Amino acid sequence: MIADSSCIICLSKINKLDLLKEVHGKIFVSGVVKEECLIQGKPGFHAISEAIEKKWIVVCKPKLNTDYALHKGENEAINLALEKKQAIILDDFAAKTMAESLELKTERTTTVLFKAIEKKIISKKEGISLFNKLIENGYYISPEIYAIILTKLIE
Amino acid sequence: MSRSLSLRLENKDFEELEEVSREWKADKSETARRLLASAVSKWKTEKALKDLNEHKISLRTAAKKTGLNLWELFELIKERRIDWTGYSKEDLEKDLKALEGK
Repeated sequence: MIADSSCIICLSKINKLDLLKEVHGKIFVSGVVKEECLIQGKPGFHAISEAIEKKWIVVCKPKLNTDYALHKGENEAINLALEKKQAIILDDFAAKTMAESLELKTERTTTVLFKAIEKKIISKKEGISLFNKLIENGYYISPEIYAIILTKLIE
Repeated sequence: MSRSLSLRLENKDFEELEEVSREWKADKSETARRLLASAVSKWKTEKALKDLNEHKISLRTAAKKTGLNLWELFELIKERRIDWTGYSKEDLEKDLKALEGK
């Protein structure tokens, strides 16, 4: 699985970066993603450093260098996914739209959370709490869709 | 390199410029330059957030346009409730399938 910065930042903000490992095992990120996420003093600095040290987050540079008229970070993440023929976790609308047009399988940070619930890595109760924290920390979901998800989580 | 610009101000705006100038202990040209720089920066931020909310630009492009790193941009996005994800009904369907293990 390839991850873009938004997923690592959003999970770090709620102190749940480890969910990525528990759900997906090994995660590949580009050098730009590492530079953007690993900033001294920001949440998750130690968790991200440790993940790289323990090699469940692997930093690699794609050989492909295609420019999709996106930022270098998004280009690298998409190129990495194409090169490794793996799905990619993207939350940014523009990047996700481009990745899907290239027939890449995409997931969102919320998908990681819901897979963690399904795999019973976390309880539904904890899942609801983490879902709310994601939103409180700036992960945008419209009130209408939020209500549907919450209803499903409470069922 | 600098370039010059002359502009005509309404009396009220001129007096307000003088007031800021006195407060900052700077001459009127310097005060006008600083106010203009601040207004342009604010405008760029507002434009980037508007474009991001309308899905015209990506997160990173917005970060570049505002001069913020992604972490700082996330704080701004949070405060302003910006729709940067474009989370759709199709996303919802995929996520609900993941929740059901499908």
